[in-house]
Amino acid sequence: MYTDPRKKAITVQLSWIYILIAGAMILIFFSRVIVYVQGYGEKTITDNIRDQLNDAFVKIRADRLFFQQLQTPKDFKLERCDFGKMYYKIGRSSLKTQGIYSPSYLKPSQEQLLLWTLPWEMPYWIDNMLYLTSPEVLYVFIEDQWGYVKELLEDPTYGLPANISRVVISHEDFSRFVSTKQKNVFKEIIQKIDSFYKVKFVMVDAATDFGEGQDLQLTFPEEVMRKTDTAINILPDEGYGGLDGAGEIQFFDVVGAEFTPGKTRPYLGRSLVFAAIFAQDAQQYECNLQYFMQRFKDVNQFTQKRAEMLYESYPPEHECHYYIEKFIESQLLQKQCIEIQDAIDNLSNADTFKELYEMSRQIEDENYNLVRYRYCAGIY
Amino acid sequence: MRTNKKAQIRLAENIMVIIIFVFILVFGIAFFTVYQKQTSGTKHKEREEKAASSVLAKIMALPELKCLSSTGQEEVNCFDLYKVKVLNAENHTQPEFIDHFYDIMLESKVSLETLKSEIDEIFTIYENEPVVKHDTLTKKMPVFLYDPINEQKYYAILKLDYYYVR
Repeated sequence: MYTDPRKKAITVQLSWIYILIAGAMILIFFSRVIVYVQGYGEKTITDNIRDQLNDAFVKIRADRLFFQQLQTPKDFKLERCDFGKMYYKIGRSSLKTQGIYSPSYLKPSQEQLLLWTLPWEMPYWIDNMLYLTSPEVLYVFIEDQWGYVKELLEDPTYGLPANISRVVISHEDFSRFVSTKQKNVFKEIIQKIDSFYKVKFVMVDAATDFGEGQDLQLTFPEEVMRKTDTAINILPDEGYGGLDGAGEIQFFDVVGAEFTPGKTRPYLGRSLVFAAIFAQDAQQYECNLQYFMQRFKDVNQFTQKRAEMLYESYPPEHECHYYIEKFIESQLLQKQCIEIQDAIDNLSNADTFKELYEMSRQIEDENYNLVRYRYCAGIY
Repeated sequence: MRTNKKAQIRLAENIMVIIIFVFILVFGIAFFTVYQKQTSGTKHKEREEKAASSVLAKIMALPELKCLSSTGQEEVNCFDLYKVKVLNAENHTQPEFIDHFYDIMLESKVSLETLKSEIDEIFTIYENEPVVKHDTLTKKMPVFLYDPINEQKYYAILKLDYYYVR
């Protein structure tokens, strides 16, 4: 038997090629399995974190006033806000939630984020507003001559919780900075700044307070501005209830080392003042406001129906039947509902919000009279 | 002749190896599939249990149901009778009504039954049953029902029938 040695050599070479191909395929297969298992494991972990956070949001929404430290090892990124629906990305998982004000990027500190809630009442309870932030976000409050900042920080019930990182610049120090441009006022912030990844400035009517009614051009030191991407200027109107009433919020964008005035949006109640403090920007504030205003309208219509139900439930000879009839005839709730719709249609109109505040006060007074002096059931 | 027999034995051997290999492979896949199905079934059930609890917690926190004291403080596990009556009187099949509460109550039936009191009634708060074949998880929670006219509290059971597709 004669075999061609060249043919044998080719056969041997071919079998090596087969072995190589098979080896490569096996390698690819196992590496894909490893990548899949790793990804699946990571997704399971982030899914668990997401579920725990979702539970926490649900539980905290059930309490009208609550502060909680959330355990989470992962960063949050706000992807988008759509009519109050917030879509966060946590690792490989997505979290959809509602009506939360937060910076667009949330980095936990020692695996913790901070969650706080306040009720929104006008005057009936509409919903709870949720505020989510990181201990590594620094809120810098510039004190004002009227004492609004003190009220925001020191109110025992509705004041900013102590665990939220803040620095307060006194009115005197800031006035000195405005006139002399000396950096000393920022010394404390500059010393601390490395422990924070974001700084937000909160001022109250700064133009009137420090610019003597003129537009205030603010340029802060570069060390501070490199971590600042937004600031707000609260414009309360004492004639309309101050922080608890209606006013406006001026949002600033940061361009280079300077603040440039952006959108101005109205607020209604202290919960919305805090919403502006915690929101990333005017867009997020407005997006959630759309949702909350719709809730306001829904709860208003519901309260109207409840008032009618109460009226029908009192016997006609009962004096409360008469008083509630009087309230219904005043059409306060209906008028408020029309005004809410106007506000929904034009969210930047501060006058509508002031009108809404006035109406809320009237409804509150009527309700108070019914309960306290007429011994009837309240409208809400 | 001898070489032919050897080749036949080798062929039979190879066939046996292939058969055993295929058998192990099929058995492995079948085992893995059954295990995965069971695990995902259990996980799915757990997830739905959690979702049902979450719905119940959201209902308990709903301003359209909760009762507040005259000082505006919320009362724990307490529903206002007239708020419940308003929801009971609503047309539950109306898409507008379902839309209003869908994010909170999803596909479920929520009802409230009073216990041994003058108000002997079952109130339906929300009803949205899916058209497709589904399973039901039932959760119950004792609550107070507050009548602001008589200033009386009654015991009641909040019942949630949570529908989910298997």
